[in-house]
Amino acid sequence: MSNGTKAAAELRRDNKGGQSLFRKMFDSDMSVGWLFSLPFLILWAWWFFYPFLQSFIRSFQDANFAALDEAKFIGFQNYVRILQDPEFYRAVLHSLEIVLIAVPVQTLIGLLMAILVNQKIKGKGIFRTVFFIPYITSQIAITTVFMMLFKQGTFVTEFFGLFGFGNVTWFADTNYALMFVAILFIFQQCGFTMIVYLSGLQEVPKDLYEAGQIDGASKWAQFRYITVPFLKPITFFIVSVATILGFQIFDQIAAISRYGALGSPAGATNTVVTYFYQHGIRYMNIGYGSAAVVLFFLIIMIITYLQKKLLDEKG
Amino acid sequence: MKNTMKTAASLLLIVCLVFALAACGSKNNANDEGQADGGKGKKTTVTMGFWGTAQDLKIYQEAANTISKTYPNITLKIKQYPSSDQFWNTLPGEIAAGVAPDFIKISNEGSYEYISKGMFAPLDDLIGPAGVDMNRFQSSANDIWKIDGKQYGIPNSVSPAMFFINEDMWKKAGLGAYPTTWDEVQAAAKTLTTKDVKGIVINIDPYHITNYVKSYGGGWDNGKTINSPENVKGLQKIFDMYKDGSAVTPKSLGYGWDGEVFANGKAAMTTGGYWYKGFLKDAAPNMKYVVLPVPKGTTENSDMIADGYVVLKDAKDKQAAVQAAYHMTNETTQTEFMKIGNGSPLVSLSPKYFELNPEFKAVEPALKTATDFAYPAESKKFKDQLVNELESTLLGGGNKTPQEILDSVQQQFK
Repeated sequence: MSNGTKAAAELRRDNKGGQSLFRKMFDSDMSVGWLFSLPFLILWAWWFFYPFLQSFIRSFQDANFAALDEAKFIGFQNYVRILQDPEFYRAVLHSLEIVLIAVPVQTLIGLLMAILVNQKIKGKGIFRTVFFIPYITSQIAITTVFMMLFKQGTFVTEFFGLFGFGNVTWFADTNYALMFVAILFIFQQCGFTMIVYLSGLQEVPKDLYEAGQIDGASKWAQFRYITVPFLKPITFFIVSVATILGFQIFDQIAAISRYGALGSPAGATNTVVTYFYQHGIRYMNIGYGSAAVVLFFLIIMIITYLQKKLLDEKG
Repeated sequence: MKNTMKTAASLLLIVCLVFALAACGSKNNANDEGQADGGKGKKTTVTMGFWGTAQDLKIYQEAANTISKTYPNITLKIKQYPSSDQFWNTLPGEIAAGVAPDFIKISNEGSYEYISKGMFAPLDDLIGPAGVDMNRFQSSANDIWKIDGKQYGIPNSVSPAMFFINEDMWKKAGLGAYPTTWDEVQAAAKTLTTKDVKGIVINIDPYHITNYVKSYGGGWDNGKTINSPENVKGLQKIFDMYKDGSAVTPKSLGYGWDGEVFANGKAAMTTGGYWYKGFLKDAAPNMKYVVLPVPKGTTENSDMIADGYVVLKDAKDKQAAVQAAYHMTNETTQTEFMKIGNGSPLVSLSPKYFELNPEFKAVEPALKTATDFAYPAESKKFKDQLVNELESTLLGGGNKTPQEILDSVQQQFK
C-alpha cells in the first residue's frame, strides 16, 4: 500500500470513528434522557436558579428597589436585623400554624375523598369533578366568596357560633383571621390531594386485598396494612408539596388585606411570604427582603428534610 | 430507523430551545423606534401611567388625542394600572425592561416616600425649556409638589377632605342642624345607631385617621410629631366613638372601604373625599347626602388631597414628558375632571369648581385650611404600623391607649 493510500484509509477510519461517536452519543439512553431534560433544565436555571442566586447576592446588600445600581455590600447585616425583628418570628409562627393545621387536615380529607370516589358508586365522575373544581378556581375568587360567607351574621358564622366560635367577621378578627386563611387553603388543596391519592389507590394490586380477605383481614386492617404502606410515597409527596404551598400562601392574604396593610387585621395573617413582600417589594428594601427569602428557603428545606426522615423512619 | 428518530427528535429539541432562548433574549426593537430626540423634528412617544377609573381613562384618552395640536412632535400613550400597588410592584421590572412610563399621575398621599427615594426627576431645570408656566397653578397646589425647594410635580387636582351624611337617615332620626364639631358628630352618631345601622363608619386607614388628628391641631410633620398631644386627642375621639358602639370599621362589616358601607346604608356618616360623588352616583344613585367640611376637634384643619404629574428619573425624554404632563392640565381636560368632582389647581378654573359641583360648596372654606399629609419618608411603613396598632386594639381586643399606640409608632420613626 502506498503512503497516499494508507493516509486515505486512516482518514476514512477517523471519519467513521467520528460518526460512530456521534451515533454512540445519541444511541445511549442516558444521553437522550439528558437531551430531553435539557430544555427544562435550562429554563429552570434561567427562571429559578438565576433569580435565586441574584436574591442570595442581594441579601448581602443594602439595596433599594428603585435604585439597584446604588446597592452597597453590607455583609450579614440584613440577616442580623431580620433575626432581631420580633415581627419575623411572628410571621414564621403564623406560617407554621397554617402548615401544622392545614396540611394534616387537607391530607386526611383528600384521602377520604379519594377513597370515596374510588368506590363503585353512581355519579363518581361528578364527585371527582366537583371535588377538584376548587383547586382550579381562582384563589381570589374563592377568597371573595368565603369572605361573603364568613361575615358577621351570616348562616356560616352563626353555625360556627353553635360550637363556641364568635359570631364575628372572621377575616376582620385577629383571633379568627389566620384560621380563615387555613380553611381557604384546605378547601382549595383537597381536590389536588384527592386526585394524587386516587392515582395511588388505583395502583394498589387487587390481589393483595383478595389475599387479605382470604386471611380474614377486616376492611380497616386492609386499609392499615395494605393501602397505607402503598400510599406512603404519595403521602410524602402530598405532605411535602402542601407544606411548601402552605408556606407560600399569599393570594388569599392579599385579598383579605385589600385596602389595608398586608397581613391585616393587625398583622394576624402576616406570614414569611408577606413579610418578604412587605419589606422587599412594598418598602422597596430588596436587600432585606432577599435575606428573608433566603431564610425562608432554608426553613422549607429543613422542614422537608425532617418530613422525609420522619416518613422513612415510620416506614 | 429507531436511531434516526431519536437523533431527529434530539436535534429538533435543540433547535426549538435555541429559538425559544433567542426569543426570550431579543430586545424589543420596536419600542426604540420613534423614540425621543426631542426638538429635532422627529416624533417622540411619551407614555403616561395612571391608576383610576374608566371615566379618568376616557378623559386622558381624549387629551392624548389632542396633544399634537400643542406639541406636534409628541405622541402620547396612556397606560392604565389596576391600582397604585400594582404600579409600584411592576415598575422595577418595567424599568429594567425599558418599558416603564415616562411620567405618571400620583397622589400626594405617599408621594414623599418616592421623591425621597429618588424615583422622580426634579423638574426645575426642565420647566423653563419645556415652556411650562407654573404661574397658571395656585401656589398652594405647586407647594404640595415642592420638596426641599425642588419642584417634583405639575399639579392636576387639589381638593380638601370632606364629611358625608346620609340626609334621609339624619332627617328620620329627627336631628336638627348638621354637626360642625366631633363632639356633635359623636352625639348624633349615638342617635343614628340602630340594630342594622351604625352612626359613623371610621375606616382604619391613614387618610381618615389623619383627618381626625389634624382637626385637633395635630399632624405627622414627616414623622417628628407622631405622638404629639394633639394627635393623641384625635385618636382618642375615634376610640370614644368605637367604645360607645356608634362607630364601625368597614372590615368588621365585611366591606372593603368606607364608601361601600355608606352606599349600602350601613352607616349614616363618614369622612371621605371628592371621589364619593362618582362612586355614589353608581353605587347608590337614589341616596341623598350632605357634604360638609371635616368637623372641628379644636381647630379647622383636614387633609388636602392632590394629584400631580411626576416624571420618572429614567424617562427617555424628560422634556417631552414634562410637556405632555403640562398638556394634561389644559383647560378642556381640567374641566372634564372638574365635572366628575376633581378640584382644579388652575387659577383660571378653580372658582368654577363649586359651580360645577354645588354639592361640595360647603367645603370651600376648607381649601384655605386643609394641608398636605406630611407622612414620614418611609410612608408605607408608617401607614402599616399605624394601621396595625389601631387594628390590634379596635379589632383585636387589645388594650393599648392612643398615647401608647402613638408612642410605639413614634419609636420606629425617631
